[in-house]
Amino acid sequence: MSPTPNDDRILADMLVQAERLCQDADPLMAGQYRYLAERIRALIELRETVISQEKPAS
Amino acid sequence: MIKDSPLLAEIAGLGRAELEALQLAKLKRQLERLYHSSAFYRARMDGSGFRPDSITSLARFRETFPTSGKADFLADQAEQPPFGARLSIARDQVAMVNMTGGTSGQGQEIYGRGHRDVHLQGYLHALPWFLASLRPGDEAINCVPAGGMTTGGWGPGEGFRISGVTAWHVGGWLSTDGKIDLMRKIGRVNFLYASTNYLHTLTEAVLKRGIHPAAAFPQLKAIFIAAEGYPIEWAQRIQELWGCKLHEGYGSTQCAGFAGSTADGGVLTADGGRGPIRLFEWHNLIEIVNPETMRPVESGEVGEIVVTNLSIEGSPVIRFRTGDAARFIAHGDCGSSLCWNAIESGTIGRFDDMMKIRGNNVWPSMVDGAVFAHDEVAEYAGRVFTTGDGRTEIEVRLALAELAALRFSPEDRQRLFARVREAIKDRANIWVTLVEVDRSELPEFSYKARRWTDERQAGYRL
Repeated sequence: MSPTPNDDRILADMLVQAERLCQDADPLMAGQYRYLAERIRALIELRETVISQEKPAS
Repeated sequence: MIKDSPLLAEIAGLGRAELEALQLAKLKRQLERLYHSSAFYRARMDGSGFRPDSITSLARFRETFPTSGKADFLADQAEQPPFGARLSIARDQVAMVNMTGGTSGQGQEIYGRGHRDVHLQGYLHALPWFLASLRPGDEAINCVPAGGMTTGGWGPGEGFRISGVTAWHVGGWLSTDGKIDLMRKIGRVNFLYASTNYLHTLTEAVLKRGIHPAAAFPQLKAIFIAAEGYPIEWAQRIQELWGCKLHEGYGSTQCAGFAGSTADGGVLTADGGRGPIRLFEWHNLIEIVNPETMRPVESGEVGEIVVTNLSIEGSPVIRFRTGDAARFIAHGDCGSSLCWNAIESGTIGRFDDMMKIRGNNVWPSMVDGAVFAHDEVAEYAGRVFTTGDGRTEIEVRLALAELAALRFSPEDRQRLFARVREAIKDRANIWVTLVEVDRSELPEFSYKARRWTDERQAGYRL
């Protein structure tokens, strides 16, 4: 069983949700939500095996 | 400010009955979980005929659940090392190990925290700092030594991180002058966290360099201290010098961070009295009891702090006797509509620090208060000893602050020493012998001060 594609999808979904939380206006929670989002971004980064090759805008 | 956070505003909007209902619900959940996950707590519940499902009120819990103390935890750890049977989370879920400082000389308690607890520990630092005006984007100076094994070493780092601020963990790593230099380089310092006595040391060093703190750090919004008591005159002077509010928190490893803080009011009330440390009662159930009868003390009385963790899962404490002495202030006596109970700021001490001197109960904090009420004094050290003919003597070695040491005449010194001696007599009911020493002869404390030695037993050696 290879859970990899599913894990990546879950993390991507979580990041979308976490970024939505970051829009919350409560300053007590803002840092914590940002912390959560950045931790998810780190997990996505370390699982990344293919870098998308987009042409830089000229 | 509480109103800046919708979450806090909601909690602050709870009436006392609603707050206690939340506590009871969280307590039931905690006890039910512990009955099934901790042999230590299950044995205590079974031994006292207590059942988690039988708890109908907080009062019944206080009356029937047995207290624990340091000795119980050390015995538990010795029986099932390293964490004891009170761990209550899976051994492989322990993400952080915290130990108590070991200053009691009895041994160190070991606490295993899961990832969830690590975040909560950070939150229980971030919360009081938020109340003291720390906001995302701020620059914070942490003078408390970071790292090691203690909650006081790890919690602040986690707390600052999740607060969304830039924190400079300079404690125990940079010299005091190095810290001042760095603060000046940073420029926009918004928040300062230090132990009480280190703030004293830092202030002394800043003044010695001819720097006026309020002018040098005009964007400082708050200073937050913990760990030790202080005289009210000192707090007033600190606020004048630094040009911002001084805040205090009460916390410990057993509380998994701060159990309360002076919230947004600071350590001084509008009329110059001691402000209340409001307790975050939805995360820790705090009792202030008479240590002999174990009955709750009345508002205004001093008692022992007994802690029950409502949110922490790894190595939680349930009715833990801290040995900390605090004056209880019921929420109705705090001067606002907020229904969180409180303890008095600036006066928290230890029951086991108490020295019995010539029949008087003397706490070091009493003498701290008497000595540091005088701006001219930089530091002191006390020694209780027995003379050759069996008399108890108390010697206090005093070091003057830089300017006083330079400018005071012998007569000025004599007058100051008389005032300090009277102040100690007034607060602690003991006469002491005062000796002036150079500042370099006394230590600088980076965290908790240890100013007293009791050498009386040495006097009885044959």
